[in-house]
Amino acid sequence: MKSITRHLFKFAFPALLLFAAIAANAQDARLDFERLNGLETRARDVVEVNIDGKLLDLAKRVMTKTNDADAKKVAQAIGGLKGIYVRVFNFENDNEYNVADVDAIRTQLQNPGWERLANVRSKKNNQKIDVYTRFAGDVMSGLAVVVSESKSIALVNVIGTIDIDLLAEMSGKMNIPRIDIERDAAKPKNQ
Amino acid sequence: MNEDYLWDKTGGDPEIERLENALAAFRYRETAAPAVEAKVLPFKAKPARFQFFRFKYAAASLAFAALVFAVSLQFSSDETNVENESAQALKSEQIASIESGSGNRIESNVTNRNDSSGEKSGVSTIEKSNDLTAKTLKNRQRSSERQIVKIKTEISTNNRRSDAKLPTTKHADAPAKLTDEERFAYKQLMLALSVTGSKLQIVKDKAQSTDEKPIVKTAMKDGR
Repeated sequence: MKSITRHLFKFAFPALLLFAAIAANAQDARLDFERLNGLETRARDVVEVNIDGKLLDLAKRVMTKTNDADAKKVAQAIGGLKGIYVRVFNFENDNEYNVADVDAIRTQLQNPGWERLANVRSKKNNQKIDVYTRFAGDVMSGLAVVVSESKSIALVNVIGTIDIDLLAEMSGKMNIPRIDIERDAAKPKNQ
Repeated sequence: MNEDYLWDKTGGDPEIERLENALAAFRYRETAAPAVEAKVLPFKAKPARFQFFRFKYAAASLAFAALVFAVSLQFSSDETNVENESAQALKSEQIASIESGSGNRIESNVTNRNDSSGEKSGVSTIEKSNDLTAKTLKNRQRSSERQIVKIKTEISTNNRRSDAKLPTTKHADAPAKLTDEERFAYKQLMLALSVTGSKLQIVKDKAQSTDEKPIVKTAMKDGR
């Protein structure tokens, strides 16, 4: 029995530590958007998307099912994706939100592990864009995009690997769901 | 005292001889060893300890189990597609069987009433009941076939509607058949990716515009 426990500690404990480290790294890549929950009542438009786990697997499967070439390209770009979380708030007037709330999100990106990839500041609309990435070794493990303007806030948090260049290239070609719903509403009447 | 007598018993020494005679009872007499009963103790050999658990085999089996699990996970994502489709087909079959079953129950009640009324006539009633059961069987078959056909047409029209809702580009061939959950997940993912892509495109455009500015400035200087 003693020899068994010794062997267990030799192999199982380091394996447990390794798994815990991987899980912790994935958790660290996730940003906390709770502070912005109060903006939902004040914003004119709110977009909230949380996709991970089985829902993401379903969506990836759809991409491989379709015969669309663009969809297959996008499927390649998001092959290593584990989760994607989006918050977009559009306001009616300027400065309807507290800048400190957005700065709190940016503060999270100052934690070790995050590296700034791009930083855009423009006086037009008081635009501030920050793009951060996170790496586990040589593999990308997270991406964060924080966009704040005088009338809107956009936050994107990606967990896992994603092809940024391909995504930017394909952004204009992707179907936005609202357009599809309008088309779907028209089609049954024609049938 | 005669020392020779003590040495090799030559000569005579009356005093020593007297002592020897007095202590003759205690003289050493060499005899065979006494026979002692030998107690044979059976040797109970300890049975070899059966080691049910051996670490090296356990580690190898764990590694194999992990490999099988990983392979099964990969295949299960493909198999759930087949399962969803087969589940839909099964549902349609079940609906058809339930409806045809309910029809059978009703018809069996009718045959029972017919049988109870024809008891008095004997053989003729039995023949009539046989005809009736044959007719009811045919009716059952026709009704179940109609029901199955109805269900199939409903499923095919639903599939056509679902195909119409799927976002496809001009170059797409046949639209894929998706469940509601898949459609929802796809739309949500597309929304998230479109927002991400648009913001990244803004950053890219800004970066490219800042790169181009110095070139524009130098061209203006040369023009002047």
